[in-house]
Amino acid sequence: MPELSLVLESSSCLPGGNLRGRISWDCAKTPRRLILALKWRTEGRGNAESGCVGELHLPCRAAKGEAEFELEIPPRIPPSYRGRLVSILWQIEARADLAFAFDCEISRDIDILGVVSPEPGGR
Amino acid sequence: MSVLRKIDLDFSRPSKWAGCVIPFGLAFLLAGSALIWEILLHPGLQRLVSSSWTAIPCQIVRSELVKKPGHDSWMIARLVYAYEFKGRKLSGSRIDFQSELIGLGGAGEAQNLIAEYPLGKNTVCFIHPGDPSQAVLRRDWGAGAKWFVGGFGFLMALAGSAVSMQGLRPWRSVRRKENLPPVLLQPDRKSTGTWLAWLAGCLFWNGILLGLLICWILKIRDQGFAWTDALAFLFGAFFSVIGLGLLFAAIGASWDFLRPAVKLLIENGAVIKTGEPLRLRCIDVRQPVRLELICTEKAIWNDTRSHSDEEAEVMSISVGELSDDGELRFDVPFDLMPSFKSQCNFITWRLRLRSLEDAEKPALDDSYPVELIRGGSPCPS
Repeated sequence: MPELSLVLESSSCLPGGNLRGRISWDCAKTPRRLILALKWRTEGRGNAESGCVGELHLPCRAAKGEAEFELEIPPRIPPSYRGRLVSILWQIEARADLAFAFDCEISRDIDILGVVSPEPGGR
Repeated sequence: MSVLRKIDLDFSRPSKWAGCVIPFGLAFLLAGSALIWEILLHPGLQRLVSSSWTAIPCQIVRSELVKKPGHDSWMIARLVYAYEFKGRKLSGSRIDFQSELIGLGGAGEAQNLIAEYPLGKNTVCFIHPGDPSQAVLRRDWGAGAKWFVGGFGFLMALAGSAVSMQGLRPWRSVRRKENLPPVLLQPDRKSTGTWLAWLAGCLFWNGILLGLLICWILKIRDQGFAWTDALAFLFGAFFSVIGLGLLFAAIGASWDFLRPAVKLLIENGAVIKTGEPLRLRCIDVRQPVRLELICTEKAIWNDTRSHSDEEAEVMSISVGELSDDGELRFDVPFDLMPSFKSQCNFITWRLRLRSLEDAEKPALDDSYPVELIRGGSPCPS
């Protein structure tokens, strides 16, 4: 049974900030690649929706290993939001792309922070 | 540090498989366009060009019913006519400019043609003055069926375009939101279509009622009052109540549509950035007004039988007050939730303008939709 683990240095990040973490895998055969995806989903009164904002592909050269990553979160994404009718939630999903086998995946919820201050001396 | 690939910030984008419908849409578009060309445009153009052709005498030298090539039971008229132009003896077989696709009249139409142009008949044909070998017996461009078949082609092309456009949505570029020109915002009131619909409905319903009332009065005047007239009166009274309701609705819609409004001149195409100053110029302010920035959530949900939605106003921020035409400056807080739009979940912003007098029921209460985006440069974590 393939195993995948995802550890994030912090579970929150500002838009435009960096998210550091470590991914480790232990599979029967070498994955073709490891895919990290920044995904959003909605919760609340309306129909649940989800999508992927972007992906990062990491090379993989062994069936077992560990890799560190530092992800730049796009600056224009909406922050995590919990409203009365609509909630917007973010997560990092890691996936080991295995040839001729079901992919192995794991995800971690993250908070994209919305309360930020303008740069000192800015507008 | 790694950067995400293929960043996609269009949250209302439909499934990537939506593009699969493009070939179907294009096939319909092409088929419909080909039908329009073949049935309407090409014969119509030929008819237009032939209006300058020369009419000369000709004689029918062959007139018979023949089987259409490749069809055992489809009979068509075969007419050949001979004519002379500047000493040259020529012949032609083109009857009219109608497309063969709508030559569906069958044997009956073919027999009528044979009867109209029997062998040996002297008649008139039209020839191209520059190329006399091009001739036509009649300058018609098709039967009435052309409008039906051409209309079908138009519908096909329309449906094909709509499907293709829908399929192209995922590839459309996201609207640029920087350095847009200023726009003059009108309040978000009932659309012209809604107003006209109320007006037309009211005029139609009450017009019929008025016509019936006049007929009823004339009948009573000529024939006297009968007990059936009392029934008609009661029946008419019920419909008059609906007519009155429509009248009030139409007056309300007209007032809402036509009443004077304050216009807002807003920078950057009504796209407001958080953490940046917002400058607004208010035009046609006739009474003291207050401006607020309002955030609304909207959720849409479907189950197997119904489609429902709900809206909730979740935040209101005072922008400022004005008692005359002038400019307002407002520092938009940095920590506001930007506008969000997916297929079923929305976070929207609008500027609400209300008169200061009579807070319970203000004389002026209009909304101006705006888009809020994240501005400035957030500090790195």
